Amino acid sequence: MTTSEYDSLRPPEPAGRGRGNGRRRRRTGPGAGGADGSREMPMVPEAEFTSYYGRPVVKPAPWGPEIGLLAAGGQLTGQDTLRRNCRLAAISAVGLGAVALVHDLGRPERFLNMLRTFKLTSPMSVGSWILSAFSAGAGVAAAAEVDRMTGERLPLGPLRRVLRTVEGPAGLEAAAFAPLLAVYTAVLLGDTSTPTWNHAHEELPFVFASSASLASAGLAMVTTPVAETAPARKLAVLGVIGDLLATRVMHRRMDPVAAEPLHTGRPGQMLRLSEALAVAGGIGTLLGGRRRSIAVASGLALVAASALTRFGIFEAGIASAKDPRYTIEPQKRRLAARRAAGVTDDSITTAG
Amino acid sequence: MAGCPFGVIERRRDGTAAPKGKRGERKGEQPDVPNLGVAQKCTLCYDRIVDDQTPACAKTCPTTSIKYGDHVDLVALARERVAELHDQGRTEARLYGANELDGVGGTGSVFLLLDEPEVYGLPPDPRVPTADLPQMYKLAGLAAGGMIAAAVLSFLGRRS
Repeated sequence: MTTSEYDSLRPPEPAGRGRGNGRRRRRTGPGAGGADGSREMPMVPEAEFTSYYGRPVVKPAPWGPEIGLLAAGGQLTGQDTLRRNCRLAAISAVGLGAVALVHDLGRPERFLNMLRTFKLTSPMSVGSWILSAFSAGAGVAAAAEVDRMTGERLPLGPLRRVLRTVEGPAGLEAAAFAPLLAVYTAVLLGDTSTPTWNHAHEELPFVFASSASLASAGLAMVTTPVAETAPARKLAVLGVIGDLLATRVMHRRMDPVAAEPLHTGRPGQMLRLSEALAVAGGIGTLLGGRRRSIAVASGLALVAASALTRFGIFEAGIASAKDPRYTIEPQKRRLAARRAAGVTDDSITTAG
Repeated sequence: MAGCPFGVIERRRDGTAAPKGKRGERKGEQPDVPNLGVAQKCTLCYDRIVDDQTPACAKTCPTTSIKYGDHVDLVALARERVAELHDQGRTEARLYGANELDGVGGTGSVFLLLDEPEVYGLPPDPRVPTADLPQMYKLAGLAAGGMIAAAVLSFLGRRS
């Protein structure tokens, strides 16, 4: 039956609906069927939260997860083997981090461009300088260690005495910058509009500092005989306690919706595994840290826990930026809370 | 602008922000490549502005919804228009970004909205993250200090 001459221009009706087919089909979802007039159709779709065509309100940060690798080992001044291994581990870790950062920037010379200026308002600029300062000290200290390991066979000539002299101060300089290197990524993440990172900006430095402590201690426990790792074991236990505390406080103080990506999906799994590994590593260190095999296993667990913490928080942030809900719901709550407290002059929307 | 680690974004005399021009760049020679896969800020068609023309989006807008001019004038115009709409009974009309006391210090472009901001893909209560930066540095310093303290404690404990 044709009621209008234009009906012939309509696309064909989907087959298999309604009469004449002899078979009943299951409805595939709400709103399916009904286009043939067999039942009432909802004219207005179910109201639910959405943004402009579901587009994300903030852009996901375009960084690769490599930035999490900037977890550098703390420079320790202790026994010979411990010192050697930590210095080598520090330069390896920071080298990996620098390579990852350069890879992330796309072209190596961009890193040099970042050193053309120093801006306190840009945590990335500050971080580049921290990374450079740490690398310089750690590099000199590691060079001295390599020289000693190879039986002073590096072709240094008169520079060897210079190296020996500056080795100690360089190690201390690196040690001064190591904690800054560990926490600057927290500021870097916090100083974005990515909801999960931004809402965690007060607690993230503490999480990252504890995480870096337990990772560096774990690495020392893996590489160094137990006779010299007593300080590393203590640092590991302190790091685990700090990590658990800081993470708990972070979860409790964050907006529940902004914290959701930390509990769900892959980031949630990673962070749960990270916590389990940190606890296991901490208990292993405490009870069996004097046995080489247990120390190595605990150390590996701690390093893995730290890496998982960084990658978990990183991925949670990316996930939170992709869904506009994480941007909008906490902000609406924040605005409503201010209004309830009597602050009414700072809304971005005005009635004229 | 504050967050640029290269320090190359500057505010021009007319109030627009854009990457610093390369040396030898002449009028009207800004590259007009809209999508290089990198962050690009709207320059309000700087090459057109220097030739006393309005930005292309304002020029081509079929409903003249996009207007270009001095911020003060545009905000005044927007306020008038909102009052007009309110008089017509369209009480849902509101301005977005016209308040200098908000979390971002007012926006460069003011929007006249007929619904909640999020319907237009705009955040309902944005806040410049850099505003919290001093506090973040303080907390980060505290955390770093804690890390040093933990390391020192570990070594001291060994000696005693």
